[in-house]
Parts: sequence; C-alpha cells; structure tokens
Amino acid sequence: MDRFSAVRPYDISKVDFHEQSAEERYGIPENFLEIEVRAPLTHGFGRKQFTDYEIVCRNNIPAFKLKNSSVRRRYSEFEWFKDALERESSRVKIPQLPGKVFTNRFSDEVIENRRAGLERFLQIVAGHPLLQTGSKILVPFIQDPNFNKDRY
Amino acid sequence: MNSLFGLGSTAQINITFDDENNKKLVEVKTSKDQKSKLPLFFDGETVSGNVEIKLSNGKKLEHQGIKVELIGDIEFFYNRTNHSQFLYLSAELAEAGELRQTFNYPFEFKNVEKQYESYYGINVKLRYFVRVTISRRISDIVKERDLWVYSYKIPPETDASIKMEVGIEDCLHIDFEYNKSRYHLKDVIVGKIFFSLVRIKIKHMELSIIRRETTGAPPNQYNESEVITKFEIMDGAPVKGETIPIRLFLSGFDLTPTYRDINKKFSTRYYLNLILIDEENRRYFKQQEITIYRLKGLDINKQKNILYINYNNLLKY
Repeated sequence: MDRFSAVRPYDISKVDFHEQSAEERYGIPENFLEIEVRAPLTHGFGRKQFTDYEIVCRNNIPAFKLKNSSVRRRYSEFEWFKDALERESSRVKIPQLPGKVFTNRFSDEVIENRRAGLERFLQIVAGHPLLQTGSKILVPFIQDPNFNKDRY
Repeated sequence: MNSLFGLGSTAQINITFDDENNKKLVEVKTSKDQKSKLPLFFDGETVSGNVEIKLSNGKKLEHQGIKVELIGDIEFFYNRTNHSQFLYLSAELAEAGELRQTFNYPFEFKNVEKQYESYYGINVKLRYFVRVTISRRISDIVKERDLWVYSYKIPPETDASIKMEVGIEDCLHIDFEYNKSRYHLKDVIVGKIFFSLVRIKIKHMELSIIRRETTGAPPNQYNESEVITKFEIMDGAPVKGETIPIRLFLSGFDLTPTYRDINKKFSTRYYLNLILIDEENRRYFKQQEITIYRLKGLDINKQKNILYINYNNLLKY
C-alpha cells in the first residue's frame, strides 16, 4: 500500500534508542481512536421521514481537532462523504458503504445492518493515515456539528 | 534428438574431468523438477579431462573432425535464441577420418579465466559447459557436460551499517538499523527497529528478503522479483519507545551473491523489505538493498564440523 519516505535527513545524534519510560510502556498509547455509530433515530413524517445516526469519536490523535465528539448524520450525507473522499484522493482505496435500500427503510433489521455497515466504513476511513492528515473533509464530517458540505 | 545426448546408433560420447572424484560437487536446480550435481571450478583453474568415444555395434565411425569446446554462456529463458557467449575456447581432437574402435581423447584448457559465477535465475542463466562435437556429413553427434563456477570477488570494504528514519508524517516514525550493508552468504543480519511515533494500530511486522533480477538493457529492461523468505519479527501493537531486535541467519536461504550488470546482460540484487501491517491490513513497507558476496573457506561441508566436535569429546575419555 504505502511506501515510507524519509521523514528528515538522518541525524544519528538525535536517535535515542532509549529504554521505554513507564509512561510510554503502560500509559495510554498514542494511537487511541474509537469510532462508534449508534443511536439511530427516525425523524419526520410521510415522504420526509429519514433516519440519522450518532457518530461518536474518542481519540488522542492530533489530526482530530476534538478529543471527544458527537454528531448526527444520515445515510445520504455518508454517500456524499464517500464520493467526496474518492474525489479528494486517487491513491487511497475507499471502502464500500452498506447498500442502498428501497423497501423497509425503517425496519429495525435494515437500520441495524446499515448502522453496522456505516460504523465499519468510518472505522476503516478514520484510521487511514493518509486521510487523517491529507483529507480536508474527514475530520469535519466526523466531528463538526455545524458541518456544511457546500463549504467543501 | 538422440545425437544431442551423444548417443547415436554409431557412437556414444563420455566426458570426464581430471580429478573428478576429489572435486566438490554443487547441487543445482537445472529445471523445475530436476536437480543435478555439477563439479566445481574456479577462476584461473585449468579445465582438463578426457573424451571417450565409444563405438556401438562394432561399426566404424566416419567423421569430418572431432572438436571440444569450453563455453561460458548467458541464456535468456524467454528467448532461447538470445545467447551471449562471454567465454569461448576450442581444441581439435581429431582430423577428419575414421574410428574403428573406442578411443580416448584427453583435453586441456589451461588456466581458464572464469570471470563470472554460474547462475540459474528467474529469467536468465549463466552456464559453463564442455561440448564435444563429432562432425558428420548428415548429422553431427554432440555431447555437452556442465560445470559450475564460484567466484570470490569481494565488494569494496565499507564499515557502513544501514541506518534510516522512515515514516509517515504525524502517523508513524521508525528508526531502523541493520549492522552492515554487505553480507556474505553465511552471515547474520543483526539489527533493530525503534518506534519513535506510533499513531496507527499495528498488528504485526515482517521482514523479507527479495531477489530482483533485471534482464536486458534499457529501454527493454525487465525486472522480476521473488520473495526468498518472509518471517514475522513482531506480533502485536508496538508503542512509542519500543525496540524490536532482528537476527536473521542467511545460510538457510537460497541466495546467491549480488550480481551487478553481468556482461551487460543481467543483474541480480537483494533487498531487505521491512513490512508493517495495521489492523485494517494496510501495509507499510521500506525496502533496502543489501550486497551479498561469497566468502572463501566457508563452502566446507558442515558434516566435517560435526565429526570434528565429536572427536574432541572422545578424547576426554
């Protein structure tokens, strides 16, 4: 997938193959990232009915502006998000979303399958190092409650 | 076809080398399922032996001349007509005439320069062989016998180890070190990997040795790689500050020395490939070339060593 490149010219005096400190060894690792898609809620009536989901993110990664966040998104927004990610970077392979559904959109089983699929999608995408640092929409989509796709 | 094996209805050719019983034999994979044991020769060594021409049926053999050739040849698998001879010596064994009985012709090619090592590779092979030809009006009788050559050219001395910091900005920084940049065939690669930044979830880390063979010249250069070995050096998620040791014994693997631009026809290079795999099976890798060479004195039979140790133990009692 990805080839490392040299980060900076090698300076041996700076390399410190030190013994790990207790904090390094037993503390919270620097790669703490938890993404959950939960609490589906159906809003509205009749033709305007739709289901949205809560995206919860807990992390200690600098690329994410907030250590804790919670936003609500619906399936069509995920579709936009996936397309936008694909347009943003041709190098990265974006996983599939759970499929479109035309009947029984509000049945518990369908919603649960969709929820699980969306969670899987976000876990793969949020953990991708090139997207974390290179994408302009990844972090806002996951964390910004005032996210407006027209801005991107 | 028969005549290629030196078997004709009239004659059979046997080629033997002088002192063959004392020569070291090298086991070589001559084709996909075939292995042969070939006698070992060195640069500057004389290639001498005997050609026995055995007549069958007591019939006499009329011929236009018998010659012996010593050939060093580079052959490409995908294009068998594409040969490049870098060594050619010949000697006439007999003028046109008639053979009435089995006859022996000794031959000697003195102090032959053998510049390159024998090599059977992915798309190319370099071979040395003796070829005897009995010329006849309608069809020649030809027999070939391969030999194997080792070369002990040592690459220039360098104390340089391989040290590098690689990574993905803000996500993963590792410092790795291999103790040398040139290794002999029975050497050990000793090194370490130090994690200075780990913001991804790593599942495990592997080290592999890759052979990359380059054939042809630009613009028609063709590369083909194969993985000689791959093994896991770390299982589980490292965190910042962890050091993972590496110890890789080369003698267990099917390696050759590094060949650079042999007769301008091909190169065979070796790379250490460090691969990290994260929880979503994304792979992060860094390849680093190492130079491999053959060291004199280390091609001894391991069996001899074992016997020696046992003998020493016996002396105590």
